[in-house]
Amino acid sequence: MGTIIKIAWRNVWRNKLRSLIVITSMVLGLWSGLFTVAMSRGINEQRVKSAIDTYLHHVQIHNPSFEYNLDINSVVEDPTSVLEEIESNSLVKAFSSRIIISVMASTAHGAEGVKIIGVESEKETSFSDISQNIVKGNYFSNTKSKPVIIGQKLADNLKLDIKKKLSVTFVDDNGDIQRIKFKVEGIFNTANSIYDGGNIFVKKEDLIDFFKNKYATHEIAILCNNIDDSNILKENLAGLFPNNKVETWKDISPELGSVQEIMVWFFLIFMSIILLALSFGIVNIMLMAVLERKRELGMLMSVGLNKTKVFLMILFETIFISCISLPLGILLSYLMISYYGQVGIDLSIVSKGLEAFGMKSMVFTDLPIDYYFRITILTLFVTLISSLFPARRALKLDPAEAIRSL
Amino acid sequence: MLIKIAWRNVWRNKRRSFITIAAIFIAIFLAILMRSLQLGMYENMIKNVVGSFSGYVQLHSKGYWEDKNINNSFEVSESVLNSINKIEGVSNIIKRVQTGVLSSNNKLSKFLYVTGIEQEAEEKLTDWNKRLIDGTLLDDNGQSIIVAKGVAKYYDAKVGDSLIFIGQGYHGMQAVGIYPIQGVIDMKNPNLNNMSVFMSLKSAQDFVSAENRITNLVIDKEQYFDEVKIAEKVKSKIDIQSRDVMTWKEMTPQLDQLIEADNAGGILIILILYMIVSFGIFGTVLMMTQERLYEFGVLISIGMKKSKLMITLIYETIFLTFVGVLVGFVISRPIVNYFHYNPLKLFRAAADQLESAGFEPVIPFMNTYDIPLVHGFIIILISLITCIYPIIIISKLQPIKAMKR
Repeated sequence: MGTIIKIAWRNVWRNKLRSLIVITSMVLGLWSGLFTVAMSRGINEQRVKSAIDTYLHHVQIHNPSFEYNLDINSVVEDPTSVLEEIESNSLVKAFSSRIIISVMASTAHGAEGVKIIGVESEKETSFSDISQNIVKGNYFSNTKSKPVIIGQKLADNLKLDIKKKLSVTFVDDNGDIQRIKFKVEGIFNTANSIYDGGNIFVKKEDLIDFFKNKYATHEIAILCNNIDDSNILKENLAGLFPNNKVETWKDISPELGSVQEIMVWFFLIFMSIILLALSFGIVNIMLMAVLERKRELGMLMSVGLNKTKVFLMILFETIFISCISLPLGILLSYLMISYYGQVGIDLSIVSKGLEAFGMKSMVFTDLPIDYYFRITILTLFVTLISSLFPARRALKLDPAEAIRSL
Repeated sequence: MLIKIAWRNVWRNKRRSFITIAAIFIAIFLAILMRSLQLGMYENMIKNVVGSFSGYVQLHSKGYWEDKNINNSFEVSESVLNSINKIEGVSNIIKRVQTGVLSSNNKLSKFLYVTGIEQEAEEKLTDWNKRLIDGTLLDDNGQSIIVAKGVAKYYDAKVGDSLIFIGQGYHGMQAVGIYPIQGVIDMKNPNLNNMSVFMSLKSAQDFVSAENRITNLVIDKEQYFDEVKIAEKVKSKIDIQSRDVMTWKEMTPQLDQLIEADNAGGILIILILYMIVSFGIFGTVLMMTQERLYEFGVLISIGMKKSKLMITLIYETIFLTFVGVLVGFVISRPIVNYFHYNPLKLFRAAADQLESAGFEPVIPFMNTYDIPLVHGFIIILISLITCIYPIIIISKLQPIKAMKR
């Protein structure tokens, strides 16, 4: 057995060019596959993160019927005790209560349907990342009359700029039509241009005047100390306040939450295609190697090397080649993925398209360790299967005939 | 003569030829399937967003797109319509008047886009009957409306309920009206579903006091026609001083860029695939060359010119590649066609993700002949490049050495 392994090892290096081709193709295949997957994961991670920072947060509380029609009367039940509870909960890092109304925002240049969000401006500064994404003007620094913060997209659509007036029309909780004029104080630009076009922020106190119910709250958004606690907090609050609907970010945006799940599938399918193409290369080259060595194999067989040993010899030769490439490929991928995970890749050439999907243009590659394990097992499995074909072919050789061949 | 030798060489060692063909086959097969899937997905996205509603090309009054205001409407004459209709590739022209309004019902209110349409013309663009969930379609003289399903859900409204619209009319006129709902429609696109209300063209024109005026002229094209060429021709038929012609890429640049971004990723994957298969093909050619060194030695020593041997080898490669490409094409074709007519249905998370971005969660494969032709050509190119190796070997070949074993 030891001798067979030794012979196989030497066979690998007999035809250096061939072995190098197989090794390079495997290393490059593994590297490019893993790197692409790491990049897509990075893009998605970025997208989830910016969605959470901007508008999902960790946990949200609404009136159960608020979700569909943003009905102005669907307010959070018993907001004072809900807020007291949140205040005293140790899992909570920060929270904010908001008034949300679906309104028509108009200027002389046109009208758009938007969500107006009345916020407690001091709390929100440390809470949502809107204040960090201001590209023009300020975030509620001005105490003067009725400031509004709008998105870049809406500003473009309605030709607005800072210090311009925006009028907002809606039906109040009494059923009367109300029209308020706001002055644009700041313009924000998040990674999600759809969000920027459909949401504007004002001070809560400027809206509450139009409510009969001075405690009206449509949404309470909460940040936990640790995002993994979202579910525990949700269970807690849902038990205490059964009349309100408590949701985690995954409940609100299931498609974002399950991106991870899709990624695993994408990874497996994509790597399988690459490995399929790779294994075809290996099988072809090894089959050729067997046919090329017909004479030599015939000779070995006729001097008494038994079939099992011939089989094993070819088998080991194939396995050796992949065993050299596998660690090399994985190491190369690991190094590059860690490097670009720190430094990031700039995709700004195509970023406008990405923004419509809620992504940022800097991508940080990311690949958890268990992906490397999966790929190792998958590759070993594929090479084992593909090494069987050439080895089986060698068995079929008839020594007497093989020895005569050219 | 050389072609004949090459052809016979191919069939002399069937096993070796088979291996090479298999290498080429797998390359072309995977490339065709991946591209058909991807391009089919884009085609479907475009069809979802523009093909079924906004159209591939639109004609507006100058400045309407930047400022979607009823004052930027225009009148279109029969003669202009006729001349546009005669352009090659144009299948339908559809008149619309669109305006933003604040709608309300009981205590709810919502901003909506009211679109006045000619029901018959619209049906050439999309099958409205299939999309109608409840009620009936519009007729030209009715005063009723069809609401998209998101709007119906918002108001919890059913056929027979009414909505009140308040908006801005032509030249500062007040536009106010109450309209009964006669149908609910699924626009297959979340944005449109949440924003759209339809009424007959005539009643919409009455609503905004803009008789005979329209805001959008939608020009639909036949499948696989280039919309840019159509737009160019439309421009030549109209007064471009006062009108704008826009293709879907200009109207929805985000979709175009999204596709470009995703396509970049797809091309990257195809490149990776090509890189791997070129290594595979090269490996096969390399082994084939080394296996045949003895044969080459014999041929040269009995007087065959090296150049002729090289040409024979190139012919052989071409034959093998052609067979591989052909087999790949023949085998992938039914698969592509099958998935073209029975699109892949995505499920669960992947489906949610596409739907939230406004697309139907199905992927029909694209079944044009461009894809196999382009990729077949690329593969032939790759295998011709790999031919360089045996050519170099032959040019350096010393018959005596080659024949020694």
